Order: sequence, then C-alpha cells, then structure tokens
Amino acid sequence: MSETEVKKQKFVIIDTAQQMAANREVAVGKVTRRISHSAVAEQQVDIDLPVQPGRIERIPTELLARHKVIHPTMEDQDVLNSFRLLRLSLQSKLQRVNSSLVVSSVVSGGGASFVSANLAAAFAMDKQCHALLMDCNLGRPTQSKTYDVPEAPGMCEFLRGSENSVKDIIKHSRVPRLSVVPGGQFLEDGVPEDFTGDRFPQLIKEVTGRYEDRITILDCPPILDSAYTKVIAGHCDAVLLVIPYNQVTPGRIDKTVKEFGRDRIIGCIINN
Amino acid sequence: MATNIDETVLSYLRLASENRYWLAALCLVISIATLTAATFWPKTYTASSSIFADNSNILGPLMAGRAVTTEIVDQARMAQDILFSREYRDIILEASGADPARMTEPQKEQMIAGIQGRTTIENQGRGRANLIVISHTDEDPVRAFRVTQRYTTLFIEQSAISKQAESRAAFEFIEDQVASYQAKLQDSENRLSQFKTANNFGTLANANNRIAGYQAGIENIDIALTQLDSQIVSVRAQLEGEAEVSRDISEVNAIRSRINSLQLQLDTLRARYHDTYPDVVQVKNQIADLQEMLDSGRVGTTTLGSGFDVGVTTLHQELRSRLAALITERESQLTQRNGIVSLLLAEEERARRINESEAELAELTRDYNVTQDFYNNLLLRLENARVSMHLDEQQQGITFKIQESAVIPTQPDGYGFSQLMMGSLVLSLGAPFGLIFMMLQLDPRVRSENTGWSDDWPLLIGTVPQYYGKRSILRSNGVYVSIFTLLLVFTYGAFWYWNNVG
Repeated sequence: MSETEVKKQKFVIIDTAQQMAANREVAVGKVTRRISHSAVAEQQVDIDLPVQPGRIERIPTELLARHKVIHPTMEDQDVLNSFRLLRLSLQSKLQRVNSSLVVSSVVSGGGASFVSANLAAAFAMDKQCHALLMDCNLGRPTQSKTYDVPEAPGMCEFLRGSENSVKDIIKHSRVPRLSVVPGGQFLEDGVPEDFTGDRFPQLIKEVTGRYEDRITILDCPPILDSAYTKVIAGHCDAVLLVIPYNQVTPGRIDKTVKEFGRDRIIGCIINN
Repeated sequence: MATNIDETVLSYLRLASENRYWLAALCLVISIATLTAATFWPKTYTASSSIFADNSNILGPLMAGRAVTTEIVDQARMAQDILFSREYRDIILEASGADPARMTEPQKEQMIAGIQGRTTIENQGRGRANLIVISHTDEDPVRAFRVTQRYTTLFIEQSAISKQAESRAAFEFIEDQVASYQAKLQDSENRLSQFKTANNFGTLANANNRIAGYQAGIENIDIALTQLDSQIVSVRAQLEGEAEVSRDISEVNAIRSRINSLQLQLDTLRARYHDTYPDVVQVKNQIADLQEMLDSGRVGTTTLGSGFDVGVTTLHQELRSRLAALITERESQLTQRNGIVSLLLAEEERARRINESEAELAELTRDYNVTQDFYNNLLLRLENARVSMHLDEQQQGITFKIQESAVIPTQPDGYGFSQLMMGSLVLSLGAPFGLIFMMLQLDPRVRSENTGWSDDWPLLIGTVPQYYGKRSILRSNGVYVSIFTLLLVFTYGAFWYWNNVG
C-alpha cells in the first residue's frame, strides 16, 4: 500500500492528554469521525500507519477487532482512550518501565484476560515502550489466540522444564512492540502449576531485567479461585485488580484485596 | 449529581439490555393479561332515581315548636330499613325478573341479599339533605332499571305510611306517660294529705309562742308568790303582837268570812279564766264545802284551815282574815303555777313532735311538686304530639316527589376500554422498569465508584466502557426493540379491534 493510498485512509485523531500529544502517538491526516459500517470495518484487515517519514507499522486490525483488542484506528474511541488513560496512570505509578504487573480479576470471567491484552496493546502503542504479555491463566489460556501466536511452547513447558530457553517461549505478535508468552499446553496427567519452584522467579527476573523499556504484564486467574496467583504476585512489582461491572459483591472484593494485600495492589479498574 | 444520573441511566439501559428477553416477555404477559381482563370482565350498569323531600309547607313555620316533622336525614335510613325488610322481598324479586313462587327460601334469601348488596339508598351530598337517591347496580341494564324503579315507588308509598305510624306511636306513648304520671301525682297528693292530717300539731311558731307565754306566766306567778310570802310573814308578825281577844266571832262568822273571801277570789279568777279552769274549779269546790258545812251544822270543832284561828279581836280578826286570804291566794297561785307547768310540758312535747314531722313533710311536699311539674310538662307534649299526628294524617308535613326517575342505563360503570387500555400500557411498560429499579436498589454488587465502593479498597484508576465492537448499545438492541414494539402494537390493536368493532 503506497503512502498516498495510506493517506486516503480514514484516521482518527486522538485528542486526549498532554502526554499523548508529546511524541507518543501518531497524528496524521485529517480528523474524520467514522460512521462505520461493519462491511467497511471488516475490509480493513491490516493497515499501515506511518510512524515517521519512511517508516510504516502494520496493525492487524481485523484480528484485534475480532478479539476486542484496541488499535489506533478502532471505531470505539471510548474504549481506546480508557486504556490509554489507564496506561498513563500506571506509568506514573510504577517506579520503572520494566516492571512486572499482575492483572487479575475478582471473579472468574471478570475480564482480566481482556484487560491484560488491551493493556499490553496500549503500552505497545507507545513508541517508547514495549510490552510482554505473559499468559499465566493456565486453566484457560486465551492470549495465544488473541494475538495469533503459537500456543506452545509456553509457560507450561517452561515451568515443566521441557523448555529451558526464555527466548523460545516469547513469541512476537503481529502488533509492533508486543510479545506474548502463551500459556502452553497442559499435560493430561496434571497441571504443572509449579509457580512455587525456582523457574518462575527466574523467568520473571530475566524478562524484566532484559530490556529497560519493556513492561511485563501477567494475565492471572482470580486469587480466590487459584492458589498460584498469590505466588505469582509475590514475585511481581504490582497488581492491577479488575472488577467486573455488576458481578461481584463488596464482600468478595474485600477478600480479594485482603489476599493480595492492599499495598501490593496498584489500583482497581471497573470493567464494563 | 449529574454523574449519578448518567450512571443510573446507563445502569438502567445496561440491565434492561442484559435482560431484554425477560423484560419483553413480562411486558407482553402483563399487557395480554390486563387487556384480557378488561375485555372479559363483567360489565355492570347502575340505574338511579332521586327523590325530593319537600318540607317547605306553609304549616311548617306556623307549627314550629308545636309540631315535629320527621328529619330528612332519618328518611334515607328509615327507607332502607323498611325496603330491605322481608315484607317487600318477593316484590323486589319479581321486579328483578325472578319467580318467587318457584324459588326455595334459601334461594330467595341469597338472591335478595345480592340485590340489596348492590342497592344504595342515601342522601345526596352536602347541603342537599332533602334529596334522596336510590341506585341499583346489575349486569343487565334493564333489570337495574326495574329494580330501581320498584324501590322508588315502594319508598314513596311506605314513607307516608311509616310517618303516620311513627307520629301515632309517639302520641300514644306520651299519652301513656301522662296517665302514669297522673296516678303518681294523685298518690303523692294523698300521702301528703294523710300526713298532714295525722300530724296536725300546728306550726312550730305557734308552739313556740305558747311555750313563751307559759314560761312568762310561771315567772309572773313566781313573783306573785314571793310577794305573798313576804306579806304572810308580815301579817303573822303582826298577829303575834296583838292580844288575843275573846272569841266573839262565832265559828259561823268565821266560816262566812271564809266564804266571802273565797268568793272574792273566785270573782278574781273568773275575770281571767273560764269556769273550767282548775283554779276556778278548786275555789268553787272550797266554797261549796264551806257552804255545806254551814248548812249541815258541822261547824264548831272543825278546823277551818291552817292559820285561821277564831275568837280574836276585831284587829286580830282582820289580821287573821287577811292572813287567811293571803294563804288562800298563795295556794291559788301555786295551783295555777302547777297548771301552767303541765301545759308547758305538753307544749314542749308537741313542739318536738312538730320538729320531727317537718322533715318528712318537706319530702312529701317536694315529691308532690316534682310530680306535678312533670305531669304538666307531659300534658304540653301530649298536645304537641297530637297536632303532629294530625299533620301527618293529613300529609301536611314532608311530601316526597320524584325529582329524577330511573332510566335504562346505556353506559356501563367504571372506565371505558380505551382508558383501561392506556392503563394496561402504562402498567406493562412501567412494571419492567419498576423491576429494574428494584434490582438496582437492592442489588449490592459493585457497578461504579458511587455504588458500594469502600474506602478500604485500593484507588479506582480507570473504567473500561462496554465494548460493543461495531454497534452502540441502542443499535445492538435495535432489532429486538423493533420486534417488541411491533408485537406490543399488534397486541393492543387486536384487543382494541375486538372490543370496539368485533
């Protein structure tokens, strides 16, 4: 696709916070409010975004739209902005860029995978930042499908010891600056949830220490439904608690906060 | 506040969207149920007539205070009591189209109870106490009309009869009371008269006056006695100084002298008292005795009273005569005093009895007076009742006129189908929203920072809006809303057609 043709594409100019205006996002072309039709949107399989003169990034918009992951040209700007604001908020709270952040919901199906996938995409939109998304929800791994990466080898294989190289379990997704560690494949004889061993801390240490501009986001199951979430959180820098809209009682939130420890939780978000 | 409203509206919409099938079904069910009820609910028709009670007759003010006309307020109640009695049961059953001859008692009772339950007889509103309205409700408008009409005619007929009966009953009652009190008054009068006759002691004042008189008389006599005593002492002293002379006065002369003295005394007493007075009688007896002595010749050795000595000189004789007279006078006074004392005692006894009888007399007198007053009052009332009775007999009191006669009702009672349809629509749309409202109020689950958020929790740093992908919440539900609206319109249209055209 030529640059001219790209320019004819409809772009949405994001006018949000000051941080976004300061060389964090691309603002190209004219402002157009899209009156979308499903057919038009689906025609956009991949778009090329010019990030700077001579440089183009390809975004798999169809894949992302299908899995409800944000991308710069998406129609629903409210969702996009909400994750951008969340990213900015986390960046201001985390002490360093290469932090490890656990994303966990209060209940199963509360949207932790959705939030972690989108949060990783939001960090990846920042040209100064990379994101590594680790699928620790071994009971229901979804990130490999979301980002269309091979399911194995992944976390299970690494923890089992059948895969020793961290590099081999990190998969580069089609989204620029976003990598994924899939959940891996369970064996029929049991779930190798051996997060209590040495391998997981080793993994965290390596992935967070390798690049200074890469944030590691861990998609974990609810702490009240899974024992190893607490173990994972113990090795990470912070926890982001996802509260699904109109699904949990205050009592359950109290228990979750108590399990994690209030000081460890960097913040909460309500997932509508 | 605006944020809360926005959140609330969004919560409503979201909850409605999530439960759209149930809410739509609930709405349709309520609509169909209410429309069915409105269509098939039995209709009732009410016929009514109004009766004007005219008490503005010219005789009213003329007879004010002297005759009583039955109050209007009582008429409606009275009418209900009469018309709902067993006496008119069969008449009303016939008017309603039933055949009492072919009905059993329980059937009649059941049917008449139903008719009476749907019939009202009452005064019409405030300030119109003389307008009585009879109304009857029935599923058949013709039957409603017939029953109402029958009740109305019966009311007019029976009102006049009952008025006369009431006033006559009142008159007869008062008449009985008058007779009763007349007897009581007579009895009271008799008792009073008997008491007065049995206790005729005179008045207490008279008794006190007599007692005072007797006491004064006794005091006077005591004074006289004191004087006489002193005189007697003086004469005796003189007699002792005088020499006794020969007894040239024969005993006869002495007796004669005594008689003369008594005669003088008798004259004195007669001047004051009757001959029956004890002192008078005593002196007369003494004179008679002395005369008898003279006549019988028993003078000589007879002593002629103490202190009366014979054979003295003229002075001595005079002194002795005087002494005798004094002594006689003293005895007379003493006798008189004794008589007065006995009279005094008797009078005091009478005064005591007068006192005792005064209280009882007062009670009898009071009883008599009260009975008399009541009797007089009843006599007055009896005449008033008599005039009222004559007024009612000649129908000069209240008259009843049919102000508005009953007609066959053409419109059923209550709301029309269109109004019920609107009500059904409101209810069927309101119920789901009401349900959602209750769910939002009662559901403790967390929906935002403003609903159930605790200060003990970590800070809320973001909210992810609902991701609809390519459609908004309204558009994602647009098809369902359209289908639901069509169903609703069809339902209401069908029922409206059925009720108005079909």
